[in-house]
Amino acid sequence: MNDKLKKHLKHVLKSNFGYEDFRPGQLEVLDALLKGKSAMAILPTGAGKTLIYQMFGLMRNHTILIVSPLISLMQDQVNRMHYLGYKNSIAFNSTLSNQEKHFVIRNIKKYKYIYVSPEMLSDHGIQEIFKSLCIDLLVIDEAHCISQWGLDFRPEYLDLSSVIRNLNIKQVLMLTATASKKTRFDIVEKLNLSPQNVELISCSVNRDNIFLNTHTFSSLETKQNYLIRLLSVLKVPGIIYFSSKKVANQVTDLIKAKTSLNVEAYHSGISDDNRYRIQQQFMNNKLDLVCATSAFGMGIDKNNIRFIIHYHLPTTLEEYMQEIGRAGRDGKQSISIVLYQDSDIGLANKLALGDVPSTDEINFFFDNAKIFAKTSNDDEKIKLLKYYYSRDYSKNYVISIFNNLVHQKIIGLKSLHEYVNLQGCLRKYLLNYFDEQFSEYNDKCCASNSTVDLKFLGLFNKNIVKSNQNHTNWRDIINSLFYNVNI
Amino acid sequence: MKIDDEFLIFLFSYNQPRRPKLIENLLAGRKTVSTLFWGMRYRLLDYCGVFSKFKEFSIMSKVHKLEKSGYLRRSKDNKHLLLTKLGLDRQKNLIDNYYLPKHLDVYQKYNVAKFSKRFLLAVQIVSEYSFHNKQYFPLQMNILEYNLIKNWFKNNKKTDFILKMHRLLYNFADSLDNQRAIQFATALTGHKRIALTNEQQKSQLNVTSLQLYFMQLDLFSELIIFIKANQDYNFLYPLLSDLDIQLMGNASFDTFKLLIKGNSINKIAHIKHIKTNTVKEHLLNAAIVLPKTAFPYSLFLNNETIKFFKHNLKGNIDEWSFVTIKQTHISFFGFRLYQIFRSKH
Repeated sequence: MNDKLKKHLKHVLKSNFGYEDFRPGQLEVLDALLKGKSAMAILPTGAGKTLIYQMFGLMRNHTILIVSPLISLMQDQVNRMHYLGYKNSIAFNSTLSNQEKHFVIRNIKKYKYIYVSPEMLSDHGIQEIFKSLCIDLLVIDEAHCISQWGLDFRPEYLDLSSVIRNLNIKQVLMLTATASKKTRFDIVEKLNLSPQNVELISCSVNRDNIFLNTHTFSSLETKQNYLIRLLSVLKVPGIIYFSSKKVANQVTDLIKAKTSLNVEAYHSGISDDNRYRIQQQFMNNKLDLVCATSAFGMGIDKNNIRFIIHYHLPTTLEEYMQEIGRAGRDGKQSISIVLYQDSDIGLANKLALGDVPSTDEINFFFDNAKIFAKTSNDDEKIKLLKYYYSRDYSKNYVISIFNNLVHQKIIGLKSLHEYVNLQGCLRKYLLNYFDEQFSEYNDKCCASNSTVDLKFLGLFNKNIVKSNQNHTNWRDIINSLFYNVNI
Repeated sequence: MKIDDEFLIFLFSYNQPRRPKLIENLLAGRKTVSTLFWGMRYRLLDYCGVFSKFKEFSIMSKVHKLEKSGYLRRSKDNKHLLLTKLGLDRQKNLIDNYYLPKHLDVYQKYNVAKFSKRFLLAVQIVSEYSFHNKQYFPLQMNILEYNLIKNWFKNNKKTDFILKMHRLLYNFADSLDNQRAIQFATALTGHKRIALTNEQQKSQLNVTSLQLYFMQLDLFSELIIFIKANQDYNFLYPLLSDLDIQLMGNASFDTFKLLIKGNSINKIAHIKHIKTNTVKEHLLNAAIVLPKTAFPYSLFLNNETIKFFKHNLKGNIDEWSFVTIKQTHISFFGFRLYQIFRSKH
């Protein structure tokens, strides 16, 4: 990239987003796109992947279409776009009512950034509507879902190659935080893109300002006691991740009872309105801590999160990386702490493998597929199998896909188990898992199964005083809502 | 939503046997003639659909528990329940200590939940606008609703609506007692201020989830009345559009309108492509819900019929049975309509 263009891009960055400089990888991806190429960007969580297509959109006149697999994440992303002033963004997915869908379709040309779920995009009627648009860029978020070698394989993603053809899309941006070499190759192949026209940009997944710590416990009681002691001296804000909503609620109550921290539980059992309030309170530093399931934090761009505690194990090291990546986006010292109890691996196993159809189930489904086709069953496994059946995949092929998936998941769980029980450098293990080398262990790197010197890391904070956001005078609250208006 | 035992105690009577399953259907908003009719007889009609947004709720196991604990007893036919003396005492004790909704009549006329969402977003937008701040996360809502507020904002932003909004919030809160004023104020989101979550409000007010729900319903029901009652707040009238709901159900309302225009039951059935029995059900629903003077009883109950009923049906209306007059020319529609007519005396 020449200096003149670089200078111009920096200017666009500063004037639209307020940043002085690009984060690693961003400029390289933009350069590829501006040259008219497609790009695969493998950038760690928190690297600013969204900014790349936002900025590219600013430099092009037409639509940016973003395929995103998680509906909750999609809405978060759109909210974030609105926040940044991009009101012309919309999430087009199954959560919209028919009336809303019609409204969006009528006004489709007014939107610059359209987020769409892969299921919706598979629909030919929707494709016809998108044909009326000129699409400057198709962004595929979480692109590893295309590869059946990946753990999060989503069959609807396989339709994307025909979408690219039908909508006459010239440039594709594939975004992911993690993809092995095999997966990368598979993605390009499945999308039917010419490898010569795809530029690969990848950055290390390492986040060296996040100290890695694991801790094993023999009983629930010792684990809870340790957590409470830890929270009374650990610098906030932070997130504690759980696999179970019920336990998230219980531990929230425990923390409320035993500490002076402002804490709330956040998971799918909480209404949309209340989830909004919790997110916003957390973003505005009114909450010290959120006890959450993995639903929390995806769309949140909070820079000063100091710790991520895993009360339960995630299901994969990829998920673990995503979650700890929410800490320390400001570059300051932060910490990831896994609190592990042997029985936790059972829960992780159940979560990882519970939604994969077994060979028996696949056999039964294909033998009775015509009957299943007539029923409207919402079971996730059946929906998945119906999809394959409707696309004329053979039974044996489907069995091989799911056997492979189970195999991958078991390997993933094994790695996770090894990680939490490791006696040695955690970072080295983690980076090796992601095909990277690491040999620069230092005092601020990691500690397996031992306590951490929080003072040394600058994460010690003894005198946590409960901040009180609850004005008790309603007059003050109402007056504070409006600038310079008082009664 | 956890349904409190305390609330259930209020749904039963010491004198009138009541069917728990029917009460459950009423709370869920299942608007059959039977549910609405008995809802009216139990004087619980305003509770119709109050739990319709709660997924899979059931009161039956709690009712059984109350029965086991001696607060409720079975009637002779074993299908109905009554408060025991113990239950009645508990009900009396709870009157001052448990929050029951006071404005369900408003709830039955307007979509209060829809209004509150609109109103809260409007407050947030005006608040941020007064600070000249464009970077914030607006409260979440349906695109069409969002658009309505957006248009409202566009039409008002050149006026003194910041002052007006402030005055409304202030005057409304001032009309409430202190605790409810705090509840109202802490439910608002605006510039650098985020509403408390339900959990936080519960611990602040020291109430259960269900009580908080009732308090919120009341607060916004009162706000609707407050805004409607004062021309100074007419800048907010667009927020009140399309909120009307029909307790009798929309289909019944359409049928009733056709009746008022002078159509016969057969004609209505023909126009709407429905069975005459369905038309009759719709009309019964309308009669149950409407004040006595608003329903043309005389179209179906002439003096002779009324005389016949007076002679044959005596005593407690709840205990009247169609079986006793079944052999006559009177239809069930006529019988039920007369029951409704008499209930409105």
